[in-house]
Amino acid sequence: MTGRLLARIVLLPLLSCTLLLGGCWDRNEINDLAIVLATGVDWTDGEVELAAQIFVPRGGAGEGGAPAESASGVTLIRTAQGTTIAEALNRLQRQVSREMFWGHCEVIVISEEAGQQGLREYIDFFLRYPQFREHAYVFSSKGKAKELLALLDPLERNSAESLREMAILGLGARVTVLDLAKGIKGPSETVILSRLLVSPSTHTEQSSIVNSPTVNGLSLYNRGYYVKTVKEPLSLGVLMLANELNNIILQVEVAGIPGIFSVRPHKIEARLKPAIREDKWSMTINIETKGEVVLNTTNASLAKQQVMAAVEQAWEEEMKLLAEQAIQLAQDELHADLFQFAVKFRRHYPRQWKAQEAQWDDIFSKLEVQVTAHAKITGSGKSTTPQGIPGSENK
Amino acid sequence: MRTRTGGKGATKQALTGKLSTDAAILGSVFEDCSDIMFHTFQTMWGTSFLCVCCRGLCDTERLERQVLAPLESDEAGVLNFPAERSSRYLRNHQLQEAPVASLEVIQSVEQAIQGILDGQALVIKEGVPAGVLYSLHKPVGRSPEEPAAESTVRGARDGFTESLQTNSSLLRMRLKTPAFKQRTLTIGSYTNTKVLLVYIDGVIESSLLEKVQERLQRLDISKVLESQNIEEGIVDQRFSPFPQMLATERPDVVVSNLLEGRFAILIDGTPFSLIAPVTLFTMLQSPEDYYQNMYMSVFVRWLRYLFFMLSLLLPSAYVAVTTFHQEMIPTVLLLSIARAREEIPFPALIEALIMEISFEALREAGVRLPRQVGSAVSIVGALIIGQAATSAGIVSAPMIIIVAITGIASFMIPRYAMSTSTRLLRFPIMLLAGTMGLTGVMLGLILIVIHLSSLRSFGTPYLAPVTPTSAEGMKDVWWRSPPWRRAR
Amino acid sequence: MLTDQGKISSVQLAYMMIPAILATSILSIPSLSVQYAGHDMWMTPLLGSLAGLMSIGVAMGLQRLYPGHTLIQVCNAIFGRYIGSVLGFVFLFYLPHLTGLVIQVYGNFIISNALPNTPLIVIMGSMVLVCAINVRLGIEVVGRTSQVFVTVFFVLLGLTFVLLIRELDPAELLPFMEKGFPSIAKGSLAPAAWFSEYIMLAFLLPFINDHSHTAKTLLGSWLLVVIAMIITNLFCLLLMGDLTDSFTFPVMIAARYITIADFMQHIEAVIIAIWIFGIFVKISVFLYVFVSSTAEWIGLKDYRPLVFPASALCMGYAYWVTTGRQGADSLIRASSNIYTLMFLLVIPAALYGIAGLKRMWGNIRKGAKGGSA
Repeated sequence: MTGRLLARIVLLPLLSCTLLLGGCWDRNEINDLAIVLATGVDWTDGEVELAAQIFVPRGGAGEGGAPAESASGVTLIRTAQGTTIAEALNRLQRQVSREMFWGHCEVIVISEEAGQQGLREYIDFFLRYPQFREHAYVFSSKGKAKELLALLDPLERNSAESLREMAILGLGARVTVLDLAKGIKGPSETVILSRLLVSPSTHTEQSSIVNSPTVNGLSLYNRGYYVKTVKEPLSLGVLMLANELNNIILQVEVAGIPGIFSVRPHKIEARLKPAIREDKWSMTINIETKGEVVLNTTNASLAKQQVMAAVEQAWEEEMKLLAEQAIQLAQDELHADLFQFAVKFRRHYPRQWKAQEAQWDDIFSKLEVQVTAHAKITGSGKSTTPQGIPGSENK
Repeated sequence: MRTRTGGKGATKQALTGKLSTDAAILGSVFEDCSDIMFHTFQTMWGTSFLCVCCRGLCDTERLERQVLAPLESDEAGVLNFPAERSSRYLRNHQLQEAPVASLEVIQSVEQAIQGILDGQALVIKEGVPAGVLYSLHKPVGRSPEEPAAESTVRGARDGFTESLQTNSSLLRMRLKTPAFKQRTLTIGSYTNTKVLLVYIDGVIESSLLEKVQERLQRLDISKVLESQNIEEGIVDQRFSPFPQMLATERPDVVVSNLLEGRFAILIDGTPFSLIAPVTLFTMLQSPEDYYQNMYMSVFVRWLRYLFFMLSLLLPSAYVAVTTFHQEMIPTVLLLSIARAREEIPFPALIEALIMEISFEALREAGVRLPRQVGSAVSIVGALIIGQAATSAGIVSAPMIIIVAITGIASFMIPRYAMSTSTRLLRFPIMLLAGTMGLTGVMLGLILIVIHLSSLRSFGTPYLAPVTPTSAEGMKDVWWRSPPWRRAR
Repeated sequence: MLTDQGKISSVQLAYMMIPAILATSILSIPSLSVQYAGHDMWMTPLLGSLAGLMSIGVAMGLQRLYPGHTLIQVCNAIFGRYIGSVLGFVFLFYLPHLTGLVIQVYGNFIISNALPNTPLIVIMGSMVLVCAINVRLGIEVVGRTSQVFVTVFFVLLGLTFVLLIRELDPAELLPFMEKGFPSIAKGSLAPAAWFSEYIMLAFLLPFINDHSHTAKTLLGSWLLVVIAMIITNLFCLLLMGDLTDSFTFPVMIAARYITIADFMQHIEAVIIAIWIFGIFVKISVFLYVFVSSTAEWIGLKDYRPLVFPASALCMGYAYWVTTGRQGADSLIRASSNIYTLMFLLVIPAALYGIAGLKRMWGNIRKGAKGGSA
């Protein structure tokens, strides 16, 4: 009994010591890591160009750092080209003295140019290479992704952070790598990405790179390839049908009342209802929205029931118009099932779907789509009657 | 009883009644013992007496006033009795009529020696082959004070002292029932320390009692200076880093444990008493849990469980996460750790070991140093060195925070013995974390749980009542039910 | 008669059996069953669990016919010393194979997910050593450690799922029955193979000290396993949809996907912890069964001296079973499920049948004798 215990007590530290002396196979000090915060994928000279925004641990040195200091480069950009993305990554590592660590890469930017070559390779890589996060947000960019990453946002610690915050805030489509893969692999084979660009430098600050990225429109992908860019107001409809429209203020004009009402919706929900009747496939889209008036430039008072109803109706029309434009884009122009109609049909009519799966493209472009909208104004903001009309008190 | 006395095999003898012989025997036993007083005297009636006692332990003033002086005045009847019947006479008269509360008639030299060393006074009458031991102890030591290591905000302020009498009276004060039993044993071949096995009849299981009694009697050690000497000898697993008995200075803790069916061992010469059987969870309970608001004590108890785990695992988790699983750290935190660690020349494991070892050294120094110097050491050690080390880039600030939290966590464990074992076990787990990351930490944790599962304290599994499960006992582990809900 | 004097409660036995099924299955079952059953894969554990019920039934039945006998002793009791020994040897051949497979799966998982550069021998060796120490300390200790770690196992698993709820899309449940019943049945073959490991009960039931509650407790553990498996499958499906089958360990991906308030993120280490705790109990139980039945087969009074040699043997098997992941995968997949089912369900069930017939025959003869006398 005691012998056994003694053996264990002696053995355990001995074993751990030998392990320690011989071991630490996977030990990786933070000092030896190059922490990548954002990744960009570009297409240059017929090759994939991978850009990485790497955190530089020196500089601010934990003292909080003056704003000028943090903008002077706590991150650096390295890029490398290769015939495949993996080769580019391999070459990228050759330029960095520390081991690249992709486990904290929360943002992936794919330029439209690279998107034209197809997303498949990138998706496979991001879901296979061990460190990449499935939860990283994916963006599309108008120009080179590396230029976007090189921006030094004066507001945030780095541009990766500002992009991530934008995604969380819901400006544009919020798509993670997993969503991207699901969209492309699913029956609709489409994906919508928010499109970023470097806003034209209106500020006259130190240099052009001290700037923020701007969300501007959407990049549409069909079958894994980039097909089109849409901008406002068309992009609003697309986002709305994809249930990704957040943080937006819509302008509503009511016939007969000069001026504009601006409405901020709390909730915009598009419900897709597929139906197959006598072999006729159709889709009903129900748009539910609720919101608050934030601006009233007309003379009409929102305290009046009729005005309220008129605004609601006009808003409904507006929403319907947006939706119809988006559907037209998908059906007639792109022939791409942007709003995952196929998924709905597969879920609700599995047997018919299985039989007709091959003809989906045909069915989709001939699909009868009904849009109905229901809008409700929940409040008129802090004020009821129009404000700031000169002399209105005297009437 | 294996008594090692200086005597040359004299101890087996009986008292002769011849004062010169008895004095010679005892004298040879107590050779060179200058604190033993021998005094032979004759009363005015011509009877000789031998008085032997230990100076310092025995209250000589009371001996003179209550025993010796009455002998002079009460000699009249003695002459009428023949010597051969004097033993019986002794039992009834004279020596026993002395106005003292407690005395004992003895026949053997061995008992005489024991009594004298215990602080009793021995008086032998010429011609009577027996002696009388008077319990005239002089009160030694201090009066009960608040225990330093186990202070509570609310609760009794008295603690045990070095005197067994005081301690047992402190218990009796709280347990005014004849069911509260005390068995006396003597342990230690040189120290001959009196040890009291206390329990409550009808609450304790008799098999448990027999087990302890047997283990205590089998115990063969030369000295008993502190409760640890006994604890090490009677626990189930001597090589376990975990304490299998609860050492406490608080009488209220002993009483509440006795009422839960445990026994306690009080030891003469130390304020620490031992309680068993214990479990991991009793070791993580503080007496105050029962003295304050129920919600508060449940909250504190859970806080304590959490910090117990932290004190065991925090440095190793930090090492494992920062060197193996960097993706787990929130991005912003990782970046600030990276910035803080940039200038540090050591790997995280070495850094952690350096800090933990110096913290342990600081703590040990703080305990050993005289109280006046102690605060200076902690100021120099903790503040100045810590500050200088971070600004010089030898250790990173996050590591200092980790070590400090670990230190606080280990102070939150109410039982000192438990906190030392977690402090000790932290190091092997840190090594495992440094080699295999969180996998290593888990393996270390598994090993500890295996050990705890196999550990028993006097037959009670150490992880009871969680496993083996007892629904009734779990109530006092996960929360603290109010007293009227507890089945007692 | 038994090689260990310790006794466990039926609750502890139930605890020991839970990770014996769940530990390895929560990682591989989702991607295995979605391959066949598509969006209906969450139903596969329901069907597969029938194998578990049968195993429990066979084990309890054998225990009823031969109280206090382990499966090895039952073989001897039915067929006599010689044939019984041969049959026992079949199990002794299979058990280290199974244990080795589990060890190997553990090693590969840790290598591919946590410690890619650490030598396999260190990873597997450290785990087997820890399990061997556990087994050596007897069934009581195995029971207690499982109770502790299974509780932790469920708490962590629950935590992971609760944190994931926000990311789920219930619409992924549809289409319902897309591929039809046969593919669900095919998909449930894998869970069935796992559930048949409940036959380990036939080796462990004699150690129980409270026979009255056994049936109820074991059914409870069975139910818990079924529910846990269904929930795991559901979470993977609702999070990843059709992508589930393209990942090796979907649950790992699910855990990596967690992001709560920018603070709790990438908690795949929690999954690794769940896995380590679960697999520790599983290897311990299997190793214990292997070692104690070997001791019984040889006729030793105490199984302890066999623990370390047997662990070394299982390590050897772990290397021999497969080299590389692909091999291990093919062993887990369809054909091997039948192999597993044969050893764990068919043979014990046949034993039970023969034992039942024998008992019946005995009763008839006794009855006949009684009648004539």
